[in-house]
Formats: sequence, C-alpha cells, structure tokens
Amino acid sequence: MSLMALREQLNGLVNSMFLEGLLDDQFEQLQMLQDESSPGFIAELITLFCGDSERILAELTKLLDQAVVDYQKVDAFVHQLKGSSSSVGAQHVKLACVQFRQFCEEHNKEGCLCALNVVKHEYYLLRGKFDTMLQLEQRIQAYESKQQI
Amino acid sequence: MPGLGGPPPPSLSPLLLHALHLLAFRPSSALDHGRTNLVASCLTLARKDMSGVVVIEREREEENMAVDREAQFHVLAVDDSLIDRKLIERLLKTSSYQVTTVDSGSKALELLGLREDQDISSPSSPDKNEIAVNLVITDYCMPGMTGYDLLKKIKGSSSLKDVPVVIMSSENVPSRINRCLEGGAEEFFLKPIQLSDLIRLRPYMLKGKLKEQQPSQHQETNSSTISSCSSNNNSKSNKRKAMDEGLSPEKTRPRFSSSSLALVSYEETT
Repeated sequence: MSLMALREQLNGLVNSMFLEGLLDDQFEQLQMLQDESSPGFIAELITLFCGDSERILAELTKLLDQAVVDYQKVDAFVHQLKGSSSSVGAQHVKLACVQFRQFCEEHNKEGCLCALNVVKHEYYLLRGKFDTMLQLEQRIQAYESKQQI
Repeated sequence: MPGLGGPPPPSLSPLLLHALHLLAFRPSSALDHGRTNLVASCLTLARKDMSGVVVIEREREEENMAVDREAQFHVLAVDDSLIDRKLIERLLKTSSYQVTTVDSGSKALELLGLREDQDISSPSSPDKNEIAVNLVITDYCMPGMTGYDLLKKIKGSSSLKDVPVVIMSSENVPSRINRCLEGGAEEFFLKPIQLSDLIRLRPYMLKGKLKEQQPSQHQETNSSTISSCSSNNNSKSNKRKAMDEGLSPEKTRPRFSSSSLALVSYEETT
C-alpha cells in the first residue's frame, strides 16, 4: 500500500474514533506531544495503557467473583483505570468507569458486574482500533525513515 | 519542497513546531469535520511546507520558550501511575523543563535530601543522589504518602519550604483543593494535565530564582500573569470540558491558585 494510502487510512481511523467518542480531546494532546524527539510516545503510552487495563480487568473479575465483595479494592482498581483512560483520551472507557464507581459506592454487586461488562466491552473495542492504529503508524514511520535516507 | 517527514530548519524548529501544534490544535467550535483537516496523516503532526505558515498568535509562548532555553528549570514530578509519569514527563520536556520522575512521596523526599523523619535536610552529608529542583508537581492520591503529606513535609522543612509545590488530582473535590492550597500548594490542577496548564508554572519558578535577590516584590506581578493566563484559557476550557463526566456544559476547567482563591469562572460550594 502506498504511503499516501496508509496515511489516509490512519487519518480515517483516528477521525472516526473521535467522531464516535471513543477518543476525546486528551488524545489530541498526546498527538501534540509526539514529535521527532519522541516518535514513539503515543505507541508507548497506548501499549502501557492496554497492559495496565487488562491487568486491572482481570483483578476486577476476580474480586467480583467473590461471595463477599471487597468494594474498597474494587473501587481502587476502577479509580486507577478511570485515571489511565482519562490520561490517554479513552473517553468511553473512562465514562464506563465513572458508572462503575457509582455502583461500587452503592455496594451494588449486580450493578458492578454489569458495569464491569460494559468496561470490558468498551476496552476491547478500543483496543482493536488501537492495534490497527499502531500498526498503521509503524508502517508509515518505516516508509518515512526510508524516504529520508 | 520539504517532504512531509522532513525536519524543519534547526534554528526555527522548537518555536515553529510549537506554533504549528498550537495552530493545528486550537480547540474550535467547528463541528468534528474540522478535525479532518487537522488530524495528521500520521499520528504525529504533518510538517507541511513552511512557506505557507503564518504564526498569528502565541507570542507569549514564544517569549516563554526563549526564556526556557536560557534558564533550564528542573521539575520533580511525583505520581504512582506509570502512564501519568510518562505523560507529565513528556509535557514538561515539551515545555523545555528538565524533569525527574518518581513514583512515591518518600522517594521524592529522598531525592530532595529530606528524610521522612527529618525536618531539615543534612547539608553536612549530602547524598550523591540529591537534586536541586525549581518546582515539585505531585499527584494527590498515592498509596502511603499522599500528595498532601508530601506538600506538608516540604513546606515544613526549613530548607525546602520555598520550593513551589503543585498538586494534581483526577477528582474535583473542593474541600481537598482548599486544603491543599491552604497547606501551601501554589496550584491545584485537575487531571489530565494539558500543555496550557504548564504555562502557569513558570511564574513560580521564576519567582524562586528571583527570590534570592528580591524577596517580596514579585507577588503582584505574578498574580496578573496568572489571571491573564486564566482568562485566556477559560474560553477554550468551556468547550473542552463539556462532556467531562457529565458536568454541565457551563462549567469550566477549574483554575485554582493560591494568589486568588476566587476562581475566574467556577462557582464553588463549600
């Protein structure tokens, strides 16, 4: 695929993510922060975010599987996930976490289980697109470094 | 014609790139289709042909960047979240500050030459790992020592009490914010921190440098700089924060500063 076509594809993907609300202004901030001195900044942050999120989701699943749920621990994890999703601009995930914390506060197990499913759904949806985004970016950056030689 | 991937001339590089960034990403009231024009063809901003670029605003940013290049300020950033540490580090470096990041308050104190159980650092036996900082920026919610605890330790230390401390939090809790400001924090930022927030840090660092020569005169000049920053930022913040956690669209990004507890446009209910 030509460089231009790759760029169009990436453009289109990122645009659609903004339009759908998967990403918010914070992601634009990240784009501003990436430059020649830090070409891998977004990739690094997204990769960290994904690793972190999956770890947290696994912990949450375990915690909510208990007969007696430790809501303080659950809340702490959701708080973490809310923070990191907010920092990378993952809007839907962040909003799902906000909902989740409300159920937590109410000690509502059913609500929490439901909220966890919503967070998982939003996260995996986002992750798929992040994967594509980073693959495209990698290919573009490879093209560009070849061009500069 | 320079290629899209080509770097701009080195002497212009930091200013122009910064200006480009600001031009491209000024939040607009336009619909999302505006983004189609702005979103880079790569995740990084495309470096278009420089001849067409007109820098139409942000002289203040350029001035500040010139100052930064002359005087490297060192910021110590404290946050238990790795993602947030990476982010704040990039934000600070982009703003031309030297950065050290740590993941806890106790590590911060160690680096500052202050042990948790001490009130004064021990100049007689300086640790090789100690650093001099112009500002500490710390997360509020951290396991063990909170940002507030760290703030109190720093302000309670005779050697460090003049180091400006800024607190960050993802949660907008007025009582927490007041407590921090009353505890001596210079500013309280809501996360996620943005580049425009960091401009507010410079007066505190400059004040610190100048304080050695002129103890008391700069308080007023700094206040006017801060409030001019605030009034500039608020029009953008309105649009940015409309969707944030279901806050009402009229609420702006709260700006909290010890030089003026009354905010420019956020109504507190205490």
